[in-house]
Amino acid sequence: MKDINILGIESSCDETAASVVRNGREILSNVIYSQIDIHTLYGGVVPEIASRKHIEKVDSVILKALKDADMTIDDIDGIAVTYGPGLVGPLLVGVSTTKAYAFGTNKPLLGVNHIEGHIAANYIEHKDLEPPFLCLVVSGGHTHLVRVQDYDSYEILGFTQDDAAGEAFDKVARAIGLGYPGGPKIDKVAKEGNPHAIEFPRAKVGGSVYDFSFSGVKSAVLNYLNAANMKGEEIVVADVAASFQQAVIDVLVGHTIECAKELKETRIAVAGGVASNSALRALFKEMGEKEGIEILTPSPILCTDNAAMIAARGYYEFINNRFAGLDLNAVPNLKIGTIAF
Amino acid sequence: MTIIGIDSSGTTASVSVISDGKVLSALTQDTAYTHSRTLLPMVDNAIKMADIKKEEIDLVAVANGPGSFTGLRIGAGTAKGLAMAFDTKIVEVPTLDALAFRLIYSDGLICPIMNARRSQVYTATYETVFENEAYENPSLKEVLPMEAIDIYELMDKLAGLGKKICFTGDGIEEFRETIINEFKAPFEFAPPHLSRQSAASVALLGEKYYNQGRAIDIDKFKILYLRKSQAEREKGL
Repeated sequence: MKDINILGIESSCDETAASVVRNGREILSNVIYSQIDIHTLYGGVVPEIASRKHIEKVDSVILKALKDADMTIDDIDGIAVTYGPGLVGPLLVGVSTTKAYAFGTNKPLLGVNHIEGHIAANYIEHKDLEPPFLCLVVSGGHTHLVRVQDYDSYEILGFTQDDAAGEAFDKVARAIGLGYPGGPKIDKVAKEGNPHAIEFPRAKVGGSVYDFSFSGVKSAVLNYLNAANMKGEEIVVADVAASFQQAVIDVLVGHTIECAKELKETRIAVAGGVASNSALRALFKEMGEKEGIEILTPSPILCTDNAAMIAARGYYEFINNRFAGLDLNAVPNLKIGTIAF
Repeated sequence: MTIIGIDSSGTTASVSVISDGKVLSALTQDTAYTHSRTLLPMVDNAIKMADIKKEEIDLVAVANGPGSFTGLRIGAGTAKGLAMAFDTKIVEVPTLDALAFRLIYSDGLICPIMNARRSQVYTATYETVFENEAYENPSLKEVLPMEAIDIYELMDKLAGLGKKICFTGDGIEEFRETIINEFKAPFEFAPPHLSRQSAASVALLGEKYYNQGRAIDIDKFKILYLRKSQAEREKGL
């Protein structure tokens, strides 16, 4: 069979990225321009600033991805772009540029759902992985427990009723003075702290038993900090970070393992930026071994936003002959498993 | 030389193909449709209507600001994508230059005003100058520089120039009454068919700028926002 090379482009938040992936599994190049340093000044991603940076960098990132893959556009079979979910201004940069590039080069245009991209990161890391499998997608914008039935078919078993897990990390990190981005900073500081120093709540919510809620634990941390300040008690940042992190990962791992047992799933894939959290990975590993469930995690560079996962997902759009038109638009609240073009 | 011109800086989306100074096709739309959906189909149509192959395009001219931040980026992304595909350079055409260029030959001064919200306009003021006394080779000379400025402050500056002013641009809509009631010098408003962004104007002006050596590689392309983001302003940056 002929090799299929997909160029992927990602700009849904604060990373401008492009990548070439062969047959949905093999990375030929993976270029990521991260804006984190800029947004750190503001304690979070500023959409207008992100959009301005994306439009400055998008062309050089694309051309570098081709160069690193030692290819020209003639070697590319299709061009994939994230069209949602994400921040509308940043998404529009990738979508506008990619559409024009695909039009000008007569290449098929592939519209990719960012969350489905995170799931597809596992196809790159685990070459033999095929659906069905259970997947926890957990990032700054998303917390979904999904059964991947087939490459194109998803059953959402649980999702967050309020904040995404990564969002809670960012907010708590800000409150305890660690700054942005919260995930990696809390992960690091928590290693020095006692995860059982403070018992923050593990929220149960209505709806599906596998749904999540993280605004409660975030509020509990803020209340704890306020109360400690009022009483003039010393706040041990490492203990707060470790205890908060433990509360979050207990729920994430607990729900996922319970769900796998209930559905008799033998393997769980974890995806999204929070999947790079070392405590989450360790707890998943421990619980997986205990329950006899195989745990698959992509390497950290494929967990955080990247374009290789978009190209990998784009490959499956390509082989399904599902091509987007010149009127493809950004869809900021695009749902998993839906097509909006 | 064949040039595609793009302007999506305001509520108008406009695409035009010109060849050696002749407008082969020009499409303009001013509806509620979002540019991200309509602009590229318009590019496709403008190329077909011009009866050329897209590979024949030698240069991409794009309105690079000021204007709607998102609109400018949709135009810029489209221009960058096309320039990468066709391996051409880009020529940046300030939106206000292109608006004024539509009214070149006007006597008096040409003052495009674009609604910049918060009672401000994006504006610059131009006059038509000729190469010789036979009125050949007209070009625009900037009289007041490009800036985001309060409409009253602008009217004060313009009144001091002692010449008739022709206002153009979408700011006419927002500030018509203010100007009629408050402006202390002779003036006129450009009619609707001349007062909105036109990609033909962008492409024709782009050709002039190209001949002046102003075409650039895509990675040098910059949008003229004329304003920092709100977050930067609040930080005092």
